Amino acid sequence: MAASLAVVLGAAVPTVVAAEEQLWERPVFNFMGVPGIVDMPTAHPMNDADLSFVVGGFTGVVRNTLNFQFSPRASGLLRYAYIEDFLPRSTSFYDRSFDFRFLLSEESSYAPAVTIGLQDIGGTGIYSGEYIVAAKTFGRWRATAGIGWGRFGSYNGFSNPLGIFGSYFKDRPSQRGVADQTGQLDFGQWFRGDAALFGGIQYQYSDKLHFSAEYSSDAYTEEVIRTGFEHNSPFNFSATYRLSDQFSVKAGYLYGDRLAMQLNYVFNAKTPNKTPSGVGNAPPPLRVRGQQSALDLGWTPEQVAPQNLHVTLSEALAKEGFQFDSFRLEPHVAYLRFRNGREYYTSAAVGRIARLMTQLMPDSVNRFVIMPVTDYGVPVSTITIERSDLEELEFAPDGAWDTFARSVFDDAFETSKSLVFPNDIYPNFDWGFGPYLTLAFFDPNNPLRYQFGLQVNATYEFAPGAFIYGRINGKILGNEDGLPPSDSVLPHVRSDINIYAQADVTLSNLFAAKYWRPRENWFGRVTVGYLEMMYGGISAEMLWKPVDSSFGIGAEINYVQQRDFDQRFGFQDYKVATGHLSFYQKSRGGYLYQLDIGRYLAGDWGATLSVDREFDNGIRIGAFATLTDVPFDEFGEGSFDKGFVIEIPLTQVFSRQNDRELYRVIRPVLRDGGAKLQVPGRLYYEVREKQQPLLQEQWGRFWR
Amino acid sequence: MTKVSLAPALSLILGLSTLAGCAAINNNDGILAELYGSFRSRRQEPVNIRPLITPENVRFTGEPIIFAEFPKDEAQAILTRQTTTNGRDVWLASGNSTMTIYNGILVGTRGTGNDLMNVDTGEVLPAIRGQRATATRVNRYMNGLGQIVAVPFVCDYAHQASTRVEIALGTYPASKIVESCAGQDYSFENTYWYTPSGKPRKTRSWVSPEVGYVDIEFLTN
Repeated sequence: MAASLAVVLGAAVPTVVAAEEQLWERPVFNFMGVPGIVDMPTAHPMNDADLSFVVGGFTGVVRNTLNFQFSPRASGLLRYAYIEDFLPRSTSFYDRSFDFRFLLSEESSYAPAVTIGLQDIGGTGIYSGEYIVAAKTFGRWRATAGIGWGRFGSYNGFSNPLGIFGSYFKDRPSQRGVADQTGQLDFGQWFRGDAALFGGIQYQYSDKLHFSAEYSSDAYTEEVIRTGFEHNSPFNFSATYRLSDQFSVKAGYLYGDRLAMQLNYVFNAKTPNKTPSGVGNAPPPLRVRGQQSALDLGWTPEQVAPQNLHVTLSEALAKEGFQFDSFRLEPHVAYLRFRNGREYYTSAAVGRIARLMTQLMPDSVNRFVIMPVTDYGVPVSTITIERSDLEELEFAPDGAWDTFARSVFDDAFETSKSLVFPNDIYPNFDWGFGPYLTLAFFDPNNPLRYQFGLQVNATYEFAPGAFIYGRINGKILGNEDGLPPSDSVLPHVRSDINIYAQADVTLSNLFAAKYWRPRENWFGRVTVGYLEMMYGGISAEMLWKPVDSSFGIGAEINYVQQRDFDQRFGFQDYKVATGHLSFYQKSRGGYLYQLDIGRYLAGDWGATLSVDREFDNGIRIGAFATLTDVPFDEFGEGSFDKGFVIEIPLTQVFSRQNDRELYRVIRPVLRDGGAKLQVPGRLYYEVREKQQPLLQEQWGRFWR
Repeated sequence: MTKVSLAPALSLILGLSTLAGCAAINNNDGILAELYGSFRSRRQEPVNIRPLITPENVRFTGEPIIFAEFPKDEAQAILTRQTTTNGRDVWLASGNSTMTIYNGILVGTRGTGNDLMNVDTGEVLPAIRGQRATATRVNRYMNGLGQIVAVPFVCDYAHQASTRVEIALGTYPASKIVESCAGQDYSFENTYWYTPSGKPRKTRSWVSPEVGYVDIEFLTN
């Protein structure tokens, strides 16, 4: 027996052809957190959709960067640096800067890759510099050469060659004072003043180990003047070691003065985990009519009386993690309304529910109409699937696509209006209890603000789309109350967070909401009560979003009053009418554009533009900026509201059914201008998940 | 037979909460449980169940069962037949993952994390039956975006009419077919042993690059 097992295992040596050693799969990071040599940038971009975190530095300096390769050519980066002794009266100086890089041309057999980069375009200017850099790969060697301005033109600089276009380029205006952190684009400085050349070589010893050497054109002028930094040599050296697909470490020797260390983490939004098809349960089996297989299940579906079908369906859906809403049976058509429950992907839910229906519906039923309902009880669309198509396509080679092509997607409005659905679940009471953790990154005074506590919440639904929700937070730990008091000259609509954060037990929300369908393609919402931490009042929203359209228009109007700092039932004096007209467009390449035009919480008028890269797996990474009629100097630090958004469905983290999301808004600074009300349960994101364009993106999960 | 990968460090970097700044009406439970579950399942020792497979035990179960082994991660499972549709037997493991087998050909898995979503057997089955010499085999997989990706292979087949094959229950006469498939990025070699009456006795089938092969013994054929 043992011998035979050994034979079996001996034969187990895979005959899979190993992939060749991957050279230059990704560029390495420099100590500024961008693809580079040692401290200087290089031309090759990261892989498309790479989201990178880099933490590193040397004595007296720590640099943290968040870098996203937004498209194959364009990338953006947020850098949060700590420089010791930079300011005379303060030991800690936190500097935030933003870079933009664009690949002008890809590397080819004869031509190098060429990238243009803008470093620190909106921050304080201490890292500000521009460069054009080229890099060419020769097997295991890669050579980089570039020309830089600003910081990159500070060592061994020469008169700007762009000066031939006019004396404008000859001189670079001196940067604004460090204390005046404006956050505007410094385009008045770009490519001006002295320029200098830099370059380096890199050698890939193996797929894990890289060596780099460079000649730097950065004189570290400010650091030398203000801190103990010494610039002894323009030559820098480093080695990078890849620990895994995602982690690498780098060590280097900089400017003949300091040893530097760095940890790099790369996450690709297209391959967020190692188990893409998930480790969750297999789907329920599909029953083909007129086959013996039904007997294998231990019962015959015809025996289930129609009145019991509601209960049986409800239990079967619950077992799969979905929430049963309502069911209606006609001689040849079965209608089923459901909510996603624990399932993130509606298409996966539809696929499993269709299979459950093949088991439970009488053979006479030859059409399933499956209707996804939002978490708030509003039917969005109908997905009509012929039972014979399911029976035919389960094992068809292109089964997923064929099923999508043969399914019909309609607005649920007509069906909901013309057919009576029995009340199967209302009134419905639900409650929850658990920990909460809020995080804010890159604050000007503190790299990480957090609050941790316990929350309890409850929902009472008395009819479809009508419910009351309440939630109480109990703070256990936090450091938000230690923030300095607001210096804002605008009404303190957001900047009093330090006072709000002092409360321990708070009424987080308590509101009544009504969601409904006014007519085809239209969705409505009214919410009244304590809407969010800082505001209570009334909020009304309408959304126009046809079932098969990637375009939508919404309008929201709110009248709210600022809540007391203790976040119980009382209000302060400040009242405001705020609201927006919103345009949503999802483009074919996976980009989601949103434009909001309207009045913000401080009474300022303006617009917010958001551009997100959105992946079929639900991961969304984007940026937004708001310009209002508040002048930049009245707004205060940052000049205008802007930030990044990262959203990752937890089902992609755990590879199992999970309807939650990691959602983070990363703002360099939270001020009072361009601030929006945070109403829970806005319509757009909820509605579109159950409409054809998003279902199509996810339809590969139908037969999972 | 399920594998659980360590949750990406990103989730820890970003924090576990879904609630900050997010206006969704959501609870937060279940996330810590998931993390704990991942932690526990990584520490479970694999148990060798092969010695438990005896004719008596197989007879005692009283239903069709198969024994599956994944050499790459040393996982084993006993599977029972869940259903048969259009000639495809869906075999269910206790962890609620399945394998779908069509005349001995593995045409699908669910729950391995890197599932074989589907196989186009249009040319493969005739080739195994000796009706054609080569076949184009198209396996389908789910990529990180949730899209179904077709991966084509060109396969040829070697037939050995009468041989013997050893499974957990003993040694049996069998006819052996070796399917050698080459694709752009991967190549593999599946082996099938059929009983004299044409039922599968034992197979070695390639699932995906990450899962590797699965050895299946048909204990009740």
